[in-house]
Amino acid sequence: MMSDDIIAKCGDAGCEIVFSHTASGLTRLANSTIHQNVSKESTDVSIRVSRDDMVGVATTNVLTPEGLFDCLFNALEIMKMSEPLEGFPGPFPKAEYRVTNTWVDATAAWGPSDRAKVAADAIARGAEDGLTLAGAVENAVSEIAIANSLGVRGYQPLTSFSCNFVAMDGEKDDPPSGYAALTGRDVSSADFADTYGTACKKAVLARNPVVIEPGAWDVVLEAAAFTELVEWFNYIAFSGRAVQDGRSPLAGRFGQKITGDKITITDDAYNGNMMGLPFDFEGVPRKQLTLIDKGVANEVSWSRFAAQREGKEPTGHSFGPGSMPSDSLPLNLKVKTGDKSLGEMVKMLDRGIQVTRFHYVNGLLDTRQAVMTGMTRDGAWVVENGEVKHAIKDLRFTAGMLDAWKRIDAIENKAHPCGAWWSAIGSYDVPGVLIRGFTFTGKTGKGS
Amino acid sequence: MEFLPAAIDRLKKLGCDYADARSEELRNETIVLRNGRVEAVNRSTDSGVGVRVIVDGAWGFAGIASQTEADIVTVAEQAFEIAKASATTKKKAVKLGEIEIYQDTYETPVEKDPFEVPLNAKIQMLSKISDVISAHEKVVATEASCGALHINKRFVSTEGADIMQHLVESGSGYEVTAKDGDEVQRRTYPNSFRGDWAKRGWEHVDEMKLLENAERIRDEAVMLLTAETCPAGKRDIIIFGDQLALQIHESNGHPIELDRVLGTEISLAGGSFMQPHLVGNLKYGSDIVNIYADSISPGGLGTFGYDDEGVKSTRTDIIKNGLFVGYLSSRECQSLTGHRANGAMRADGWSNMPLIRMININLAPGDWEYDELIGDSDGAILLQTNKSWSIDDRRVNFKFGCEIGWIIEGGKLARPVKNPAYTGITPEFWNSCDAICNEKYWHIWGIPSCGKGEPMQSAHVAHGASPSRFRNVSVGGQS
Repeated sequence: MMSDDIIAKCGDAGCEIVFSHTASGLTRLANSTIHQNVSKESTDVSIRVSRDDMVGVATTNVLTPEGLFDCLFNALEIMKMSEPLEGFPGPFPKAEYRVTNTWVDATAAWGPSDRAKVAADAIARGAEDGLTLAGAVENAVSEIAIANSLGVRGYQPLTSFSCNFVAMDGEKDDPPSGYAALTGRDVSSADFADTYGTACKKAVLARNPVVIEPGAWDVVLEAAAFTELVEWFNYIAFSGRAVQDGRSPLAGRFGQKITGDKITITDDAYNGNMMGLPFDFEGVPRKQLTLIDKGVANEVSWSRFAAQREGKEPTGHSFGPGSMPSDSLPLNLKVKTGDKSLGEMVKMLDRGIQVTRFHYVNGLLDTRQAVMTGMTRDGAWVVENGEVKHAIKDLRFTAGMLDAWKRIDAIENKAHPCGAWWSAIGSYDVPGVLIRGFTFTGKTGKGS
Repeated sequence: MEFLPAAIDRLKKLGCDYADARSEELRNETIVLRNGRVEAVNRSTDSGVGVRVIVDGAWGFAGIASQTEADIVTVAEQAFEIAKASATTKKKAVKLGEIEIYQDTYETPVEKDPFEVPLNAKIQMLSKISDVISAHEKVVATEASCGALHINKRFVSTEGADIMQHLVESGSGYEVTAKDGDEVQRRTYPNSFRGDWAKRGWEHVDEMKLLENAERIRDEAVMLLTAETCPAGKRDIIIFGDQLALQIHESNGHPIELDRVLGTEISLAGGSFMQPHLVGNLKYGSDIVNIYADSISPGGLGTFGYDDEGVKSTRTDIIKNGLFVGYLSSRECQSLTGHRANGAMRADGWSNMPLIRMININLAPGDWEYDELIGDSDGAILLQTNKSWSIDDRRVNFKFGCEIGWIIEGGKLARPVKNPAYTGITPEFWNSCDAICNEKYWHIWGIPSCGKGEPMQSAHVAHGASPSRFRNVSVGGQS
């Protein structure tokens, strides 16, 4: 049963369908051996039906005619038995979509032996420095198709790959370590050797770490570290619902300067290191958004349902039938680059810390001030007079990002693609930053 | 499910060292009311087969969304090829520890099938709650939700295992967001992040006293808008069971996963400070701290009959009178370390390879009455309901934020404080525990979303806990 058949069986009810197919493989390594090598393939079909304000949703991965009919029957039954959702807008009218190139044959053709070769090469590179390697190498093929009873038809094939490596010097219990990762759509242009090589170099530099005292430090956050902060900021700040509920740090502050001038954050599926979907899961064309413009709170993403309450236009960032009608989130976030290389930013530190990445950041402490906490991980160094002096034991930071981002003194001149859990359809493009007076609030080790 | 043995037959012919195949059929229902309106009534079905195989001493896994014999054989062959690719970096052949092999069935004991409860009754329940929690001018957003899950699964292996299980889950919860000017506060009940879940029927939701607590929770959210910020400094704290559940989860449950201890999660979730040489030697907590893992606690969200490599559910001491004595283990880890597989290998659906996951990780009750504990804790702060969580990659340095704190003065909860947070070092923290309330105040909290692994898998776990006191802990406002 194809989409037209499903729509025809809905009668006068509005009908929206999302097909989502993914075939992915992931090779995982630890202790310099492959310990997990998996593949999986599934297609999920979500059907949302609506009449007046009555709505029903059902999802299945059973694609037999009986399975799809059961799914549709479930959605129709729910629609009849549920309560009205006042203001539900129904299917989106037919629209045209821009073309984004998100498919690369080479990535689609990759298999377990290709991934295993990258893993084996990484392990061999680590052995040159006496390092133990861990990490993962993944590739995926996805297809997203949308259709509705008002004529919306959208289809997007996507390929993606990602890898991450942690190189460790010593035993498993808290060894010095280094990290590097890469994500993209074209596996043939990926420099895996540079990636695991970087992880190895960092692990060597991380040897003999020293415990230092927490406090306010000038920091250079490499792209991976800054991405953790930007990712959490996205969760708490850039959805219309978070603004409606008053939780977003942008709520009630549009037009006001909330960070320093150097911060401009956009969402753009049509440019950058990884293009994204040109439509959302309700069929709305994806708009380019300037979320924070030179420090000024400017706009957020809106689903159709949430936008309607505010008299705003939807922005094409909804998750569609499988999610809540009021939810939305930007998936192709970009932080505007600056004019300094990473090395130049390090040179700007009289006494500071360079951070590779953070672990287990959480941004729910105080969302209005974007207070976040987390730990450094896989390589952090004290810098004195612009020179890296020595590695340090991990520190905990706790800081309000609205405040900290006012003290950004420099931004890297290159944005790095950093994966998110939705890497198949989007990613972050984020540069490194130099922040003055970044607050570390805890340490783990004793002594100095 | 009937064709599952075809995978085993094919892999035996291909010449594997070991193989198992798992078929799962899931049926899920989620109902969400936001601001009193039904925003979602979603039902989903999910069906497929996952095949795990050892070839030439290395693992391969493949999964497919199908139950046909032809597809099951194909996915078995795919897993075989993947295992051969894995073997290219093999340093040591995978061995599995010996276990008893079962042919058996298991069903979650259920009084009221959650899928037999009429949809309109569930919506009415959530609607009544929504009416109460939204009835204040400072309340700007509410959400009330409930859900149910059926899982039918079959497990077969080259060793002759054949296990059928029918598992049932139910859960519900709600949250209130209040706002005044720039101040925003939230309270949830009975726990944050989707409420409280159990491997039980709808009787679990019936017993949650959702409506009875709605007014209190709403008023607490509003009260927090004008409450003082939690004072900073070293204080005694009493942690309520809902927050203590997450403390157990992050600082004990994750670091005792033996696969993590042996390094297999290093690149993502990290390692563990609870290394094998510390078993029997690490004084993890004070003498009154007893933590055990089980998959047999009645109603526990981590309760089932057999794990996803056919190991029967059991109980294992983890911390005994403060001493670290045991791990969560698997057959592979058993062969590597001698720690017996204890029913903790679980996969997130048919499409994922099982990993060592938490089951029910419970802090055994102590002997204090709750009123007695409050009366004995002048100057302490009572902390309730998780708001934020963060811990380092070895599970040592943690920081948690809670929704509400209460200053204890004169033997009672004197006044609320907003944005409380506490931070510490895991063994120091658990060694500062000097009082645990008794079984009357003990509850097993179901957490339906524990993340681990690549690809990311979500597990349904539980933690039994009662209010407990910890001495001289760093607390403060969240910024």
